[in-house]
Amino acid sequence: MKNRFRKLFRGMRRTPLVLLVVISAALFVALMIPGIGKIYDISDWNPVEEPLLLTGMERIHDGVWPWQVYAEETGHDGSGEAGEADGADAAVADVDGSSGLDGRSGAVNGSSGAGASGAATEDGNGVDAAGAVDGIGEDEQAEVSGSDGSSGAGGQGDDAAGSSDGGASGAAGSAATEDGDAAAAALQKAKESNPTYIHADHMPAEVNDKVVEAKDYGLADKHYLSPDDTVYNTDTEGTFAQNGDYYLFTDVDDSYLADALIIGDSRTEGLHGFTSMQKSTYFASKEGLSVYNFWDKEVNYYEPGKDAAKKSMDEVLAGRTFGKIYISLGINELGIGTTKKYYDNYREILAKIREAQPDAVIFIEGMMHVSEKLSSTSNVFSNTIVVQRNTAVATLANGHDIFYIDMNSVLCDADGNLQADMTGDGIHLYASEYEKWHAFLLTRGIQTTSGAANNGAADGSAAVGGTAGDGVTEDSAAQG
Amino acid sequence: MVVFSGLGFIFRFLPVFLVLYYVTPAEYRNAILFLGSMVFYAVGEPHFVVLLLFLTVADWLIGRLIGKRGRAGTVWLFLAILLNGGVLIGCKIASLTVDATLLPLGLSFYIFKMLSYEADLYRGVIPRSPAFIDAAAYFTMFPQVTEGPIMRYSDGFTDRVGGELMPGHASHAHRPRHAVPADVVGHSDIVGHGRRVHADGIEDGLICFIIGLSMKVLLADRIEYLWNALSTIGYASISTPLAWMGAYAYTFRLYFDFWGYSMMAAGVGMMLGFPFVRNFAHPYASPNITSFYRDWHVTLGAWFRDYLYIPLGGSRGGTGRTIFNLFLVWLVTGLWHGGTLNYVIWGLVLFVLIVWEKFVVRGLLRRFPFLGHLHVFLLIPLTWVIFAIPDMTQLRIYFSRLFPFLVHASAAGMENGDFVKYAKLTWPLFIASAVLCIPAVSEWFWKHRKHPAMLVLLLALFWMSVYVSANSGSNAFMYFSY
Repeated sequence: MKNRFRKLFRGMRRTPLVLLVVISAALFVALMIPGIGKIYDISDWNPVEEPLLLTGMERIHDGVWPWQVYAEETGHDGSGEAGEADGADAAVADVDGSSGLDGRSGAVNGSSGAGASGAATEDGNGVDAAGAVDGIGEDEQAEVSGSDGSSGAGGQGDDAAGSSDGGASGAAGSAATEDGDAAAAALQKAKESNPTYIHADHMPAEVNDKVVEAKDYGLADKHYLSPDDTVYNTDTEGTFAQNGDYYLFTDVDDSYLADALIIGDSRTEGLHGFTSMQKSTYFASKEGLSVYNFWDKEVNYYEPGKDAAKKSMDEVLAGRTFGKIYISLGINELGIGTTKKYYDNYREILAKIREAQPDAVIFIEGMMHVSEKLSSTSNVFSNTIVVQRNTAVATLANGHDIFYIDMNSVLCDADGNLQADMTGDGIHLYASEYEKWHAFLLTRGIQTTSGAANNGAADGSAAVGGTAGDGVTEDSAAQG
Repeated sequence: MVVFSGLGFIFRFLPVFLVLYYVTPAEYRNAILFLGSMVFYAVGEPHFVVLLLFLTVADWLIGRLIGKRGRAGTVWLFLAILLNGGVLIGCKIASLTVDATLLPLGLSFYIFKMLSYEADLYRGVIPRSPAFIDAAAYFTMFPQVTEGPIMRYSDGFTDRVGGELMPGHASHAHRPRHAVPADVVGHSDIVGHGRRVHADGIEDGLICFIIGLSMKVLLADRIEYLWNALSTIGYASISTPLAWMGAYAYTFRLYFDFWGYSMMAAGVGMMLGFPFVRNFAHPYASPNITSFYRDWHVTLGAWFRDYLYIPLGGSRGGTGRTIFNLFLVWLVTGLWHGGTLNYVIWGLVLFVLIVWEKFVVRGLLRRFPFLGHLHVFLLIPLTWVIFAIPDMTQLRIYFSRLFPFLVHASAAGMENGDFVKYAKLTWPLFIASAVLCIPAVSEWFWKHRKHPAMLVLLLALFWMSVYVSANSGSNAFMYFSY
């Protein structure tokens, strides 16, 4: 026996690399164990086929290292919720935020809730776009920082931000009411002389594009769908609410796009790379961009005719004021989360964009379908999933400053599949076909009457503002 | 799990299997190898594992009949050829005409191992009929069942007939020249001499595995991005420089993917005690196309030479006969790779090039060796383009982009400088690929593989590959990022 061990030991000295690999793998797994259930979601783990290491490596890809669980524990236990938020990348923001940045993220979240409601009660009609947006879009994050009541620092931050916010929007609000009446009358007149303007109790069907349907091959993985009776947007107040003022699409030319920002994934990269649009408009696009990594990923920011600059989406949106913002996302996350999860994240993104760019007309571009070859063989790249998701996000359009447009009407065959001769991989257009997308965008212009489509002071501020403020108060009450 | 670069293989199947294999006494190791291989194959092909099992039994039975009679067993050899060839051709045709899933995983590889087994019994290269478990372990062994290399039975199996160590049957006949330099294995005495598990073999096996893994994951899979981008853009819209970049990207992708895979397979084999099976011997350093194919996928080329070209008479039957034999070999080689027209064209183009080298410009190449290298550098990538694109229309478009001046095609893509964009993205991969094509580099690397700095580098390569693999290959829909 002793001899066998000696032999084994002598053998091991001749296999240093084997030892190093075994030891480092064991160490890595040991490091991961405390994070199970916290930073590692193993609820649908298959131990026979997937080594635990796989989860660990995937999380590193999301920016989460095994030892971050310790930073987590010393902070607060919001991590439990982070783990449950299943959409792989969706959890990242929470985890990141809660580790070490407590004070800061707490303060930011707090200020949006408390500050905005302060403004609303003081003033009654002082719409603070920021307040409204945060209250609606960020309930998940607010919940995390709210429930743990983590630190005095966070609380203080709340107060400070709250009072200054309230002051500022209070002042703006009352300024608005003083000359509001005259301006509103003039504006109403201007609107009525705009041929694409409609005033109606309900949104007329032709205001947005219809979601283009596609043949269902019955292959779509149920994990990525939501039940058909899922309820999406029914807002009567706030960013996504209708307000009786609607605009119809109209043909435009490239000058219309001079102050537009086109946001999207690699498909949009193609639109930039292979059309003349690169000379006339702004792009913020990146291969792999999804609703889950939207704020974390560095994107290529192209000013007209210039080379790419690497920026975060926050930086892009803070950089300049855009008149129109087009968003095309969805293909990368077809195999992540459900339609509802996709919708929730999409909605949050729109809300934050609205906060950063209060005057922009937002275009939700329905996801371009995939080819028949793909849709009829893949359970992920399936037009069934694409159409369900397009249908969900289309409900976010309000017809006056957020619109749904669907390019599939000009790119698909009778079965709603992307035409086979337009694509090599079933997902991207051939370079020569991208101009069709460009041409489509030029048929979907929105000519608002100055300031009307936006939250500008004159936009019926009393009515809309007041209710938005209330909405926020309700939201924060529900969370507390 | 059936993909060597997948984490399920690296951290589940392989370690569990190795431990079982090592604790099993030597005389039962082939049984463990056979059982483990069946599990491995069944995970990848839950249905066709039955076919593999059937062929294993059938080939062993026929092999016994051939083994008893030797050269007198010609009838049985024909039966073996009929059975194996029939299954291979049948499945290939079915996969082309009915459904692509009708081609079982690794069929082309294990059928060729079975055929070589029967032929070697017939020729007496395998001295006597092996026991079922030995033959079964050889046919199905998991490191080779999916993608080769097409190892011979005499490499690691002939030593343990009846559980005794026999003097190895050194069948160097099928080895190409400079196939296995002593320093590449470290133990030249073991090459071709059966099997022995020992510490150095395990360590070197792991080194081979890691080198192969990183070549596949860090180089091949990434440079493939460029090739895929071209079909996404559409060949009609790419500039000529980009088309050439694409041809080289595919050339490198194919090389490092296959070489990497072969290294992983050979590495696992070494950990099990088998000799190193060399499948690539620096083909891109070859002085002409003929020797390129001696050094490229060595075990396949050797198979065709030993079991087709030489039985047909090789080059001994005069010029006409030699050319006909070459034609037949390259036609079959093309068909073996796939049944579509582009593979046939690919094989025939190589046939023409090899005949051209052998019979037309032979003297010229001897006088100016760089011309032969030029053949390899310029013509081989073009043949790979034919290999890569099954659709004839697309293939024609691609060649019109490569040679626009021949067909007066437009200068698409030039104005937006597409090639500059992709060159910026991929130049480090091209440099690394080119450097690794130099034989001296990998020989230097192998010589210093035990150096502590090299240990650290290998460990780093291993974890980088695992990281990249975890975030791409194992997760089919995350593989490409749109």
